[in-house]
Amino acid sequence: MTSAPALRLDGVTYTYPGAASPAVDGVAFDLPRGASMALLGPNGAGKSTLLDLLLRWKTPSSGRIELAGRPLESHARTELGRAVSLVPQGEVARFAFTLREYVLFGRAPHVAALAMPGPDDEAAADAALRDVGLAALSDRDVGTLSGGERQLLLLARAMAQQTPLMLLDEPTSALDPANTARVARILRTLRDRGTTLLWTTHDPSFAAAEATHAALLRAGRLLAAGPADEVLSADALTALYGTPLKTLRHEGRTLVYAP
Amino acid sequence: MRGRGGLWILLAALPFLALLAVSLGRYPQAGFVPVGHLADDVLLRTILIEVRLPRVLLALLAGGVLAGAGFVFQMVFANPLVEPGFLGVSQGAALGAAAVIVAYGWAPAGVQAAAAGGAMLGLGATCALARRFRFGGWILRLVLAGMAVSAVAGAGLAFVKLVAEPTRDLQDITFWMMGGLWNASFPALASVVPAALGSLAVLWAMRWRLNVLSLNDRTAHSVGLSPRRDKTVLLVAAAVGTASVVSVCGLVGWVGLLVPHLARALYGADARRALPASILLGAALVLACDTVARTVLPGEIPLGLLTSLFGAVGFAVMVSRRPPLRGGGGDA
Repeated sequence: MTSAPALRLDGVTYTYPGAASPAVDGVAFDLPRGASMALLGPNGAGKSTLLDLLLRWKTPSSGRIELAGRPLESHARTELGRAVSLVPQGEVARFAFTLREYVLFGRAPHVAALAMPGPDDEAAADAALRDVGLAALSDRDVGTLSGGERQLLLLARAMAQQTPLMLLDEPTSALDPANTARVARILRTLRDRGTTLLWTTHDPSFAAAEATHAALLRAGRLLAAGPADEVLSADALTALYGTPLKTLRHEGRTLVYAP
Repeated sequence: MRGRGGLWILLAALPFLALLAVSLGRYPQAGFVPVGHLADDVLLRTILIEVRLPRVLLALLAGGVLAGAGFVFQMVFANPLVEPGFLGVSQGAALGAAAVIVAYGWAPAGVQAAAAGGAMLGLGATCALARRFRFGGWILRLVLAGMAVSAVAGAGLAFVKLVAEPTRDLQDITFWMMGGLWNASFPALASVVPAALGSLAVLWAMRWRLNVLSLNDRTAHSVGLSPRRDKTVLLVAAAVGTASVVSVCGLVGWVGLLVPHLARALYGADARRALPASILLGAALVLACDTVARTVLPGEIPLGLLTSLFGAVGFAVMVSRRPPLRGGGGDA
């Protein structure tokens, strides 16, 4: 049981209703526990759809997903909420909640159906706000945040959920370099605490720097998956994006660029 | 006002307001009850206990339910521009109730059941229509769909009036459409209490969850909720509560739109505080309007007329104010 990977995908296929071809087509890979996996692919490759399948927001047309050694569909709804968290890409704050109230929503799977969050939940929310560096803004209205702060807020909410697996949908898109570095630091902290991470990105250099593992998705099909330094080769990335790309080693880091 | 203390003040003020309302009226003369007469005026005691007291209690209950339901509709639909009267709920309930009155006469259980059925039908039709519209964002689509469904229900209501028995049913229906509590009595109150309190209990119990459900459905799902199921439970509870109030009080508009905004402005967006605040403020507002309705003129002013006036003006002020209202987004 403990040796089972955090996630195991086997022949996972999903076709949107009325679509001619599947958006995700026979995808199979393992996500080892404690890994930080980057999911790369061009726009429309099926990355977001794959995240939806892993969240059970969508159900695969065929194939099998195992979460911690058990079929995904065998997990009860709240149990799944305690096992997998999501950092969505952008989210509109519709009412003027404070940051603390907003992060507390991540505690929902830990709060019984008709109960209110308790002191433990408040503490977890406050700790998450401290971890992302927003503690000083706890009582502010979420509508007043900048784009970078909002991304950190969504991260904090997922952290308050305290799940062993966290899915992140383009956590660094639309962030300036300082905020990107901040998110990278938080991801490393999470991994140090034993959280398994799966995140999508359009930045191969960021993936090469931060991911332990990588998976390449093109037109719904998996081109490669495995340890990042094996998968993120110039040839593989060129095939993935359909444009010539080269890699450069500099100060121990791999940079990906278009020549 | 954002602390818990503010809520207790509100709760403590209600009995005081209720007492004040009971002691105000037009017998034996306009104004406050002469306390000295209570001992020897039997009629005065009867009026206080059998006429004014149930009416005051009904006003509190109706206001609480309408404002609570409005609050829930706004959060579930992530739309600050909705209230039961804008979603086809009130008009659906009114049509259902009126149809049953004309067909079978006034029978509280039947009228309430028909009102609840009409409310649910109105809400369902509004949601279905809003999803089909190919014009505007979600907020606008929902409001437009609600207008269309309300208009259809209003036309149905006009037809019911046309075929109604003119000396009895028609007058009932017409006056009742304007909204008012002149029907109040302990039996009428008793017929509303189960559905109204049941509805409020569900809303109260789910108030924290309601916050999470105001985010998009995928996010609510990702934190372990079943958004569709939970939203359905909340909407049905709110619609049933609204229907029970409408079946006795008629159409009392705008309370469900204005009061939730006021509650959020005073107590913050978190429904843990703002929902109870909305219920209490709604109760106080309808009580105040009804007291005015039955005391200032020799004849009674329809309550719905006063709440609409007050609510619409208040809402206009609130929408024009800075910071602007927020809310909306795409995917409900």
